[in-house]
Amino acid sequence: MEVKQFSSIYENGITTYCPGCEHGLLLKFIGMALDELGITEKAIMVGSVGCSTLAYKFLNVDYVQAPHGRAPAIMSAIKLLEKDKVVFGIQGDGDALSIGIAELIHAANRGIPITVFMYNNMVFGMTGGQMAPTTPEGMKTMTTPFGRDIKQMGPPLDACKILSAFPQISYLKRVVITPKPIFTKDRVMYSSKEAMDSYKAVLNAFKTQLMGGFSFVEFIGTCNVNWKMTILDSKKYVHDVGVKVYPPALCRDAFGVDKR
Amino acid sequence: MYQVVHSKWEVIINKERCKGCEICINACPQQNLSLSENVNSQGYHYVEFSEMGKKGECTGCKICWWVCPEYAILKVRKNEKADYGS
Amino acid sequence: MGAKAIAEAAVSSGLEAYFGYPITPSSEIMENISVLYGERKYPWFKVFLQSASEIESVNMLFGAGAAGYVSMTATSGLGLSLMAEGISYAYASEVPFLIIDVNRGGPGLGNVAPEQSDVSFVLNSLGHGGVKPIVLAPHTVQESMEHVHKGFELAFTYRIPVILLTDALIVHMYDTVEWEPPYIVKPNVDWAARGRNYGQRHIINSIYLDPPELKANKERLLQKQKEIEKIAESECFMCNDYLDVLYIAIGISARISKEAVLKLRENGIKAGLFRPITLSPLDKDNLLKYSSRAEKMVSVEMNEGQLAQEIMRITRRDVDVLPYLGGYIPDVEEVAEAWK
Repeated sequence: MEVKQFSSIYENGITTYCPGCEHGLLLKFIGMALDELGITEKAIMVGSVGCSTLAYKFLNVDYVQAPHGRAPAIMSAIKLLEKDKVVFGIQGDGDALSIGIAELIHAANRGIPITVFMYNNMVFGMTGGQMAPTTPEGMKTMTTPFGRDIKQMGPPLDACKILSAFPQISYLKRVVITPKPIFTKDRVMYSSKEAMDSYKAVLNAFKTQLMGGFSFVEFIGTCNVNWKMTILDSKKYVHDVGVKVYPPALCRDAFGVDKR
Repeated sequence: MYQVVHSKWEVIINKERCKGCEICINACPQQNLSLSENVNSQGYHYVEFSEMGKKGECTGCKICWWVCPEYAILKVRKNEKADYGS
Repeated sequence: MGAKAIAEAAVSSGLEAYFGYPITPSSEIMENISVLYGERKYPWFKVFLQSASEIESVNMLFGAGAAGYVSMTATSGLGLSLMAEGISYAYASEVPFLIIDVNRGGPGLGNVAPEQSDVSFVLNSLGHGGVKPIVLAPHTVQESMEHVHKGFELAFTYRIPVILLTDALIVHMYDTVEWEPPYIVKPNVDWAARGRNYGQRHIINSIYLDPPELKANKERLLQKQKEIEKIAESECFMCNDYLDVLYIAIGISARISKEAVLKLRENGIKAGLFRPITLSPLDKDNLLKYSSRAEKMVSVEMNEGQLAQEIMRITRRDVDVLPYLGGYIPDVEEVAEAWK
């Protein structure tokens, strides 16, 4: 292939995600943003347990494997000691909001300039589709075969609402990364607007870190294999059910990067 | 006499990365992409690009590039084989 | 005070980052270090942060170690239980740091009196999957200071977590010390994750999904264990002789047992003390040599007999145990009586 790829992605790298999963899209945009800002050589990635752990075979940057849920603590320590590097991490929704919520909250409260990307597919993906704190009411998962009962488990957690309480966060955004299916009378098409918005969010998150602020971006995506749906159905599900529970929003933009 | 027609744009695909999820096939407005009969080394039917689709030639809109989750669609670029000015 | 001495030793030896959580009886170490950080006497001491829990503490140590910086924390038995996952990750990914365990009464909430009841925990497997960090056991305040410096050096030489097993008494007692660090620990960290910097990428990882890869990683760690065996050290106090009784003790029990040995020698009984300086790796060669010339072995410990189990496993002989539970400190008379 004479085509020049991004220097932060392995030339023959293959992702090992399920067909139809948007995790690969997030990795592609991270690679593209690192190249566009010219920070590939000083990027340090902290991976978590879950599907995000497979990222290190695709992205060609320095990598530290964190225990389940503890990536924000590791990122804070590395950033305090290596102030001029760009430290970022990819977590799942179960990793960040279930077992790791204490680490995430304390890292957000301190506001040390790191970047946290959270891929929210409303279940625990890697382990087979069990209920997560972000599962909407009534959704059937492997541990809630009759739907999530909010009387006992409470309503789903909203990361943007929780993190808005901390004054030292500089960029807090939620985007939908799933392409929206458009149904015409004889076929289905996909829009690329969501993908472009997600890329802008990734780019602005890195720009916020370079300006000295803590950034957190939540991506609403699919998990078609563990939701037991076809690829098309899962994309419809996100845009029918997912965006109603988690509407895309810009919850905080202290440096105004989105407007530039 | 047949004149070979090329589209102004072409799509470069890395077939080893493709997992046959068919998002790009649906996304292309001109339906220039289709699933191949062959499989790649991972065992998936990969996607192939044809310059003339059911509804016209490739316009370089890049929607397929934006939505591909595997980075299998590497680039959408101007086709050097196209006849300019004819 | 012991805590102040340990803090001074750590910072003057080259400590670059401290992340801690307060827990009696180790909080004084963190307090003294925070004072040294504020005074800014040592330019290499970059970061002091009080974390929100022991779990966050050990993960910040993991981050600092992965980036190649000399880092340390001080905790007690309860915190060490919480840190077990982080220590297992550090052992498998070869990330170095130092943890000081100030042993208090356990199990459960226990009390804050000194005990030596974490010996089994740190020796058998400090985390899931078979984790063997280096364990040092000082018996005086001066030796604690030396061991902090040694701990930093060993951690980075072998890229392994190091545990310093003290107890609540040593950290709180007042003693006269005279010690200066021989050099500042500045390790070579080519392997650390500090960005690609136009070179090869650095990976700190412990997941190997294919069985052959995981087997290769474990074998590499076991090979490293064999190399670490050569740093095993122990002290032989009047034990190079044919003995009636050989005492085995660490920490404060060792200091008291030395008094008992002197007392017994005055009365003509041939007593000696074998004191392991490195608990893991244990100095097997010297232990076998000295125990083979002893009629009887007595282990003096502030627990139910955890060190004795290890000695019995190595020497394949019975070891009598003189246990002190609940926070009681060994008594010289009782230790001397135990030779019968």
